[in-house]
Amino acid sequence: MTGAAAILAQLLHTALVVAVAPVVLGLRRWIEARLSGRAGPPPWQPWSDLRRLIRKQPVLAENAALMSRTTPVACLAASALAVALVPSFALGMAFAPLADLLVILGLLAVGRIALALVSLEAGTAQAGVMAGRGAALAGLAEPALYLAILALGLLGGTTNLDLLIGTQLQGMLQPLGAAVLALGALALVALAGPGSAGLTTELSGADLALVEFAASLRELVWLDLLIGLLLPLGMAEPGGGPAAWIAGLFAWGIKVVVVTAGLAGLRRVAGDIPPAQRPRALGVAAILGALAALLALASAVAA
Amino acid sequence: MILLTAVIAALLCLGGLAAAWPSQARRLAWSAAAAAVLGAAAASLSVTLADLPAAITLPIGLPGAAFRLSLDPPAAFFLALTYAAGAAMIAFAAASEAAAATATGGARATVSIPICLGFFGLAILGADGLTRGAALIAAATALWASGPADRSAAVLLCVTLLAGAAVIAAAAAPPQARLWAALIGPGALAGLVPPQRWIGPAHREAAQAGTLLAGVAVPVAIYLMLRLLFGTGSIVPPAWWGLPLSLLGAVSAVAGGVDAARAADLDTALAAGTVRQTGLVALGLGIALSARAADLPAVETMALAAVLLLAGMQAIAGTLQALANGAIRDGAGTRQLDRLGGLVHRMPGTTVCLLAALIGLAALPPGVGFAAAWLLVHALIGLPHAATLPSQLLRCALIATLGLASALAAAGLLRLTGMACLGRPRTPRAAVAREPPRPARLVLAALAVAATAAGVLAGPLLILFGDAPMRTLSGTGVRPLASWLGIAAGAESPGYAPLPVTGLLLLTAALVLWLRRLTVPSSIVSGPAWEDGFAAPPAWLPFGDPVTQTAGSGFVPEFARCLDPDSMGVVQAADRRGVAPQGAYGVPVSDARGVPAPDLCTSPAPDADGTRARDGSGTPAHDPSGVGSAGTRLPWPGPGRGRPAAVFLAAGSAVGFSRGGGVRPGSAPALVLILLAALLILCSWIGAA
Repeated sequence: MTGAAAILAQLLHTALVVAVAPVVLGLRRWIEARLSGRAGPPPWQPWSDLRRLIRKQPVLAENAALMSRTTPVACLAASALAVALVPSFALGMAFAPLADLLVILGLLAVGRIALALVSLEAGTAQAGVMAGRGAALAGLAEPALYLAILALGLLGGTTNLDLLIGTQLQGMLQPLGAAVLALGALALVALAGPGSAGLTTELSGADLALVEFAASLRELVWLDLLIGLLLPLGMAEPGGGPAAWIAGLFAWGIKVVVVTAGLAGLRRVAGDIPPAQRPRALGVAAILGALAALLALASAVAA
Repeated sequence: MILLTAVIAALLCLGGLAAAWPSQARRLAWSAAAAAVLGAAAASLSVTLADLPAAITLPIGLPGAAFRLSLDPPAAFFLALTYAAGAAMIAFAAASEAAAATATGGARATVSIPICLGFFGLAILGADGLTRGAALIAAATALWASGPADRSAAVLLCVTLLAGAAVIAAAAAPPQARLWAALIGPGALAGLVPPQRWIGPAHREAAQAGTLLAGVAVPVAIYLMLRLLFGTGSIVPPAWWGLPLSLLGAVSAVAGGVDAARAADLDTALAAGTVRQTGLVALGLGIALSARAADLPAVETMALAAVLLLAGMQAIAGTLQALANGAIRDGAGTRQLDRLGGLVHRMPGTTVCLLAALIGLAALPPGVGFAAAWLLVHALIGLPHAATLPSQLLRCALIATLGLASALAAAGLLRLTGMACLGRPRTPRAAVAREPPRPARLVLAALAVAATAAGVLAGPLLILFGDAPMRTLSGTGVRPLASWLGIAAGAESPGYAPLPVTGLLLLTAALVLWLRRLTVPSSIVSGPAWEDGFAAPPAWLPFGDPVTQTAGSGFVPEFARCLDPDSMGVVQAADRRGVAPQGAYGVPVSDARGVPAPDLCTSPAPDADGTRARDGSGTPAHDPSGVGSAGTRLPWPGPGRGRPAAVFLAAGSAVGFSRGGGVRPGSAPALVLILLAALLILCSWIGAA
């Protein structure tokens, strides 16, 4: 792919994911509502909510200062950069050399910490408790993430997400069992890891819109990451032109809809992971990550 | 070389003069700071110049054993770090002393810091064990003489003396003893476990010396460890040397992280954070030694680069954190988190500097810590694939430890910033805190800029200053895998590029800000905090109701409490008595009104009607049954089943590692066995509900 094409693909991808992230969130909510027999808001409802919020004048808490003014922006910037780095329909985009797995997960952590700083600044009860809980969950989630990254790094010889997906696209991320275990660990962390629930009580108006938008972007980061690593079928390869991109776009759309529907169905059947069970789920994720790393190490020795 | 020796002499003379003329101490301190800056500049220039090593013999010394000094790239690198940190400390001490007589030990600091800095510089410049050890002993004595003569100072003196003695003894001992000398001597000084239990309080109590220890003594100790472990000349270090270092490093990193995340005051958090950094350094040294034994120069270079970055981070960001602590201590009158809060209003500059230091120390992009963690992860990935299962388990354990340490660092960041600087003031004194005077603020700002720039420019800095030391230490011609944009793990892998990532981050932030400006008026409207609908506090509580915000002793990540046997005991004892541990104002250590400190290790017991009470009636502090809600303790990572399993895995790893590499035909049954064990643990966790 020439430089111009790579930049074009990157711009297209960024515009696409930024536009689609709230819709994916709305789609999941709509399917969940449908599955439980309610009409549900339309999938583009999150965009309407954001538009409504962004027109409102934010009201800061009295003792809010520096952080409340800067960190919602930092949170959104980190999340937006993370979602721009994870490939959706094409490989070999302009930012591909930057798309390291550790960097992407680090950017997500930056977003989480920025949000926690806002919630701590107001000095209120609930937000402080939720920030502490998020820190605790992160402490359980990070070992699992690092183990999964070790496994993927051993399998693919790199931690660059673009190269890893390219390897998987050629069916070379072997043994597949290790890759699936590592992705299972990542998925569990995505489901049970620290979220932004309860941290936004003191935000309002445009700031709240920024933070909610960032939350939907983070959800899409995880979705794209797992879809790309597990089912890269149809993605445009680094040399591909517009035809390959269109095919990749279609494939990506179908995969996102199917996985979102699957997630909604899973939540309908099994429910959300209750807070008290999350540490346990993260422990299971760590074990999956360790098994994946062991399998990868064993296969590397056998090879 | 001669200039650097002259700088040391100048520092010692200026310190001595300041001791003799207390009235002129401040002016002399500024000269000392200038001398240190000059030394740092000379040392950093000489890293990149090619005329190293240079040597000089001092005309003084013991009979028959003159003190010899020599300067090679690693020494110049660490000398530059030490002098830069020391210059900042001297300037800060002089500036705060100028404004406030209340500055703790200000007069003493302007005397002791130049002298100690001079001796520590001598310890780096020393060409042999005798000179280094003697300089270290002299520094220890100066440190002890300057501080109050209490127990912690004595502990500190003993440890530093021991480190000096170990360095001297290692010079004469056979090379095999060098590992133990490094662990007992400089390792203990830098705060590796097990002696970390005693060093921690010493770091904390030694008021002014704590700054020196965090910013100067720890890099010096790291340098001495590097010298002892990698300066063996032609002798290749044995393969097993990496094992105790990595294990001790991993344990120290987690222990320090846990302590930092539940420290009650700023200085304890600083000392524990130092222990965490030292643990990461030891982990990197262990990986580098293993890679050298396996003849993998690329991996060794990566691990050494991580060590250099960690040392630089400790010197800059550690000093910045220590000085910001000092500013808070002087400005708000206390270092107890329970008595701070809301400093962002009165001390915004210090708050931002503290945050910059903590981001630099934590593994968050684009900080230096993230670059170091990235290098460590890739060094672990690149280590040879040993066939024995326990050694593979060990590698998994090390990388999980790395993850845990980075999460703990992030939790510590949130807690320190959140409790000390954000929220509402917890005492009237904190509500009238004052920023340090302008020169001191400038010192803090310069360090914050340096810490941030070091993260963004990790690649160029490694090329400029890390290249020559790494070649000297590893003894190979492999170029470090850094480029002007960032660092890379291999030729085919793009690696981590902090410069573009930061640029994009700033660009995105600017875009978001611009869009926000378009829709929202720039005027700021503020009102009472929503606080879930609680009423406004009464008039006699001008800073709000203290129990409606997280207590200063709160916000301890629950897993940190669970991991620690002592606090486990507290929780369980409180559990039995049905009372909570006491916090500030005599209120229970609960994070908020009606929301007791959450304990993830104890799931709420179902109420009579089968619902889980939202107000936490199942948590220990409010357990009406008083029997500790039997059967509700989650097995992860509590002491129940998790701990024996972890001990089992760790013991297995150690045994396997000590047996060494080589494909053993009998490893398949062991693999099956371990997988079965892991599945059993998994099932027991799932079935524990």
